[in-house]
Amino acid sequence: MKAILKSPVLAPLAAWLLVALVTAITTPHFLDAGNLSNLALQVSIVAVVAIGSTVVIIGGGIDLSPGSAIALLTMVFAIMVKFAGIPLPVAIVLVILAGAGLGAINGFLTAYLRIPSFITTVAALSAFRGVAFMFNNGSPVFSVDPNLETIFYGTLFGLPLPLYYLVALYTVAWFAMRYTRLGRSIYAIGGNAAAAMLSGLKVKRLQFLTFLIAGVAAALGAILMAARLNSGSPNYGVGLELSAIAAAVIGGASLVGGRGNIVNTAIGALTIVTVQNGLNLNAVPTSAQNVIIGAIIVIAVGIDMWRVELGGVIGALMPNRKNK
Amino acid sequence: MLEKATPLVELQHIKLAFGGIHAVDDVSIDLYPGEVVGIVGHNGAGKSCLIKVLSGAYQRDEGKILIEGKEATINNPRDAKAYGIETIYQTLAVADNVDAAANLFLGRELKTGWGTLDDVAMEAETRKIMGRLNPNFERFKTPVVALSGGQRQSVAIARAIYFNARILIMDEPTAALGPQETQQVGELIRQLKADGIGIFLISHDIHDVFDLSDRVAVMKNGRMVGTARTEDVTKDEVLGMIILGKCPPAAVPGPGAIVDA
Ligand SMILES: Nc1ncnc2c1ncn2[C@@H]1O[C@H](COP(=O)(O)OP(=O)(O)OP(=O)(O)O)[C@@H](O)[C@H]1O
Ligand SMILES: [Mg+2]
Repeated sequence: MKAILKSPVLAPLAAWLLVALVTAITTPHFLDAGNLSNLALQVSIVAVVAIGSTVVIIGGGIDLSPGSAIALLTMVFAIMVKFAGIPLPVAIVLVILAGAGLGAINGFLTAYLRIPSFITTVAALSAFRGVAFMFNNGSPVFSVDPNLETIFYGTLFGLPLPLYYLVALYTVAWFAMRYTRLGRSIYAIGGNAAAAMLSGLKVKRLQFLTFLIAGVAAALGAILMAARLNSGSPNYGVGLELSAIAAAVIGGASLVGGRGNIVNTAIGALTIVTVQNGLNLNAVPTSAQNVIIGAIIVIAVGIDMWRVELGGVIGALMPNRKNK
Repeated sequence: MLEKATPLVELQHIKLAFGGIHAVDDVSIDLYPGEVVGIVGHNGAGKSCLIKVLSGAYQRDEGKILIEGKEATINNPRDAKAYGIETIYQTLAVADNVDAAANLFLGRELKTGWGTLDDVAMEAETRKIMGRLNPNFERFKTPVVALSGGQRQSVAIARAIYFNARILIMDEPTAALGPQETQQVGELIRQLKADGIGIFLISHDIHDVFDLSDRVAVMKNGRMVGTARTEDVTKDEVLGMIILGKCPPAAVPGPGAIVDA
């Protein structure tokens, strides 16, 4: 029981349950089967992208570009499949490589040219979408391939395929961050890059790798996005970077770096998408939704920054938690 | 007595500048196996900069590093570690967000047969070595940030000695320690010395330096005032070297010595 109370999963899980409860009470159709499965599908894209955001944040950086990367990558994907006749599996591999390439640009500028990631990726946020508009005269590419939608809407043993992707990807990411030298090193550079360097870690290469991983995660998100709508569009993914960052931060990742937990990010993604879903069902206009998402990010980051003070408050309220 | 052996380390004519500041200016120093060389000097004398050149944290502008008589390539901390050079930095370069074991093995993690991190083995090893260094240490699962200065220092020391260093650099290793732990570090230095490890010991505590060092090297304004066997000089003479840059007769003067008119 104490182990459960001390578990880092608890806080984000509680946050999500609270959000889900409030949404369920205030929103008539929230618990409809149709809406819930829609919600699950919606989560998958944010959750996949958020893996990358979390890894970058743990490594001490920030990635603001995945939304735009997704726009660009869905266009590349759609054009490859529809106009260049490249078979789907090959196109998928190429899109993943392209995503890694975009991540490598961010990583190179940040790690090797020492431009803060906030700047490099905000530049990429602008530039990637700009490039996305250069394809196909800036028009979306519809009806890409009849088989494409299966990637997103297909089921296996009665469960939607994206669920399997999520479980697989999160297992790999969790394992890598928890049980491999790479993961441990990423925590170390995010916690104290100078100390990590003095310990002999290749800090630049590790930083570079975090952005590369984020690029791959964005590519996987792009494939899901393209499959979901059977199209590519330079307008896709607007604001997705914020949802992904919010997912990481709600999951306990610290924007200061060095702290975060991949599994909690999944719960964070569930939370942020539940909020969005509830707002949609209540017909809250997009403009107001954006304000609310912004507020959630500020509060989540605030909770991280004030965790010492808040810990004192919680300790005072729940004295039992203090005794080990 | 050791004059005939090859020095473990020779730093020759090392220069390091930051913009216009000559942090290290034409400094030469050597270290023999089983020897403790104390490096002393005022704040800003260039002690830390000098040893950071050896530990690979800074890249020198000029000069040579020889390890056992052969020229060594040391351009980063990894290179230095490959030569068996371990460092306890004055600023305690520990990763605050992970625990003692993760710090001890950072970049050199123990792995299981599957290639994954062997946290159990790493913690066991950490307990062993901490038991030697700081028997009261118990917070093995806590991120280092939550430890006291002395506890963090023991983690840094444990990390430096765990990997069988041949050359140990200790920059103010006892600065945050209580009297008991300071004594333990002194014991440890004697023990490592007996094992044939060469140690550069930087300290502001002249008594410690005299207690533990075979030789003392004095720096002033980035330059070497001189070196002397501790048994040949008095504390007052060394203070004279530190404050005035005056080299007593028993010391070997360096380029930074004031030549008496
Ligand atoms: N990274 C740096 N950038 C610029 N100047 C530096 C840097 N590191 C050291 N210096 C300068 O080099 C000189 C020597 O510094 P150093 O840290 O080696 O002194 P020290 O002898 O170790 O002093 P202390 O006893 O206070 O530790 C100082 O003037 C310092 O300001
Ligand atoms: Mg110093």
